[in-house]
Amino acid sequence: MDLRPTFRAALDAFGALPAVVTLPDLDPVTTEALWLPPVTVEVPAGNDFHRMELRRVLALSRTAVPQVPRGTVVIVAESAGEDPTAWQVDGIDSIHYDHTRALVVPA
Amino acid sequence: MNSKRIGALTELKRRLEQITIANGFSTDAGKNVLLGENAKLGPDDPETAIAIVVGSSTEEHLGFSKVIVSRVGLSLQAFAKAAPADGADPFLVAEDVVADIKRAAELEDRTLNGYCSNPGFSRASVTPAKRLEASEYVGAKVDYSLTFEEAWGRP
Repeated sequence: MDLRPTFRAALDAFGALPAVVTLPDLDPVTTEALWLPPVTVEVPAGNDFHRMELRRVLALSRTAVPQVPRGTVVIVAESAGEDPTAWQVDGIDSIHYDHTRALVVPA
Repeated sequence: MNSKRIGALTELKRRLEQITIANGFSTDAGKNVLLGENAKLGPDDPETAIAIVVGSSTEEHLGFSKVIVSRVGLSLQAFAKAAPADGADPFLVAEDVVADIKRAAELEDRTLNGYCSNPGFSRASVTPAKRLEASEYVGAKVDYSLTFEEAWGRP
C-alpha cells in the first residue's frame, strides 16, 4: 500500500502552471510547476528588529527535472492568468519521491 | 528637563540618522531609525532601517554617596537588502551595515553630548546576521553599553 499522493495528482487537482526550468549551463526544460502556500518569516534571524518576508516554495516534478541545483531559473507565473516571471532557486525546502520543493526568490 | 538617558539616546539617534549614501556611507539605513520600537516591517516599508533597542540596566549604588552608576545595554539592529537578483554579496552587505553603524555612532565624544560617564558609550559585541535561504535581506546587530552616573531621584 502506498498512501503518498502523487505529484501528478496534485498538479491535476490544483492547477498546474506551465514552467520553463533552466539549470545552470543547461538547456531549458518545459514542464509544470505548483506553488505551495508561502510562509511568512522574520528576517534577519537573531534580531529583535525584523522585516517580514514571504518564503516562496515552488514544487517541480523530479521526472521532468531530476536535479534542481541552486541558481536554477524557473520562468513561471505566480498565479494562473498572470504573466510568467523569472524565479531563482535559492535552496531546497524538501525532497519527495516524485517532486522537489525549491525555495525561490525573484530572479 | 530630559533625563541623561533621553539625552544620550537622542544624540545616538541623531548620529545614526547621518547614515546615508549621500553622506558617504554605504547604506541609507539612517533614513529610517527607530527608537524604542521592535517593529516588524513589511514588503512595502523601506529596504534598509535601524532600530535602537534599549535593554535592561544594572544599577550600582556607591555607598552612601547617593550616586548610582547605571549601565544600560543597548543594541543597534539593522537590515539591508542583499537580493540574489541584484548580485549582492550578503556577507559584504551585512558588513557594510556594521561598518556604517560604527562610523556613525562611534565618534570621539563617548559621553554622547556629556550625558554618559566614564567609560561612556562602549561597544560590547558585533553579530552579523546571515541571509536565510529565500530571503532577500541580511542584517547585523552591534551591541553597546552606556554608563551613567545619577544622583538618587535625579535621572
